[in-house]
Amino acid sequence: MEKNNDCYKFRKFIEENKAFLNNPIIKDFLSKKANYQLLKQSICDPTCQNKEQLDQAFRGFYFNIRFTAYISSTLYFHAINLDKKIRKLNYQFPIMLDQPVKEDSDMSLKDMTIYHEDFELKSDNILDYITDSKIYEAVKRLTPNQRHILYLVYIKGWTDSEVGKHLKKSQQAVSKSRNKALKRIRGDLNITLEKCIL
Amino acid sequence: MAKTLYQLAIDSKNDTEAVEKILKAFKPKIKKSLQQTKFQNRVDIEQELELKLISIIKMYEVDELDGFWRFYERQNHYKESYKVVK
Repeated sequence: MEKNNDCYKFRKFIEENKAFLNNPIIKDFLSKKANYQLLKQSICDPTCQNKEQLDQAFRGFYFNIRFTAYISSTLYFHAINLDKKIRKLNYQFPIMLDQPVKEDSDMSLKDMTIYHEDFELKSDNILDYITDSKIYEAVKRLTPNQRHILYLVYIKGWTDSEVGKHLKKSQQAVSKSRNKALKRIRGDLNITLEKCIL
Repeated sequence: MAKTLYQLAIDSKNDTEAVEKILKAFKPKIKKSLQQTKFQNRVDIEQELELKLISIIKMYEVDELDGFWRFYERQNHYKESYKVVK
């Protein structure tokens, strides 16, 4: 009689917790006969020991799912991330520079890395090199001689003494007129020497 | 009889043999994951993944997992809070 009464409790539990029992994890867990028996036992006869048994069985089952899922996704994404990282490093620090970029091309990374300047401005007038309109106006106001010296020094990169040799002047004279030209440009642009250094 | 994964995970805290067994069990998964990667990098990545797996095994808190009744309460609690939000 008592046993019937207890199993009524179990039936009631099933009746009341339909949604819970439909949970895929629980469903899968209880699909094993032994686990189902454990649940029945712990409801019909709710002693600490029975509950603990059920808890243990469930923990083992639940752990399998959680742990496997966790490891699987971690491994999957970690593999992809590591591969990405290595590829990025290889891209940033290539080991070989002279292998062809594509299989059947004769271009290599080395050829592409070196900077080729195709366009070169060729003019012996310094005014053609200036892009800033204010500086352009200032340089325009200089004497042709000063402009020529500025061209030789700053565009061609000659030293003052080289310029002097070319123009048949002393290095000091070149330096002086160059400095004078710069001073005039600064004056036109309203820039003091200190500001210039800054 | 072979130990369950659960038992192995518990043992692995101070038993390197258990760690090795888990590692072996997940070896196919590692191999599968490697298919996503470039061929040249595979050996390196395989090693990295094994290291990662070992650190996971060592770090994983087996005891914090819910038992059956705890899980039951949590599910019900979750459902109720869901109702409230609704």
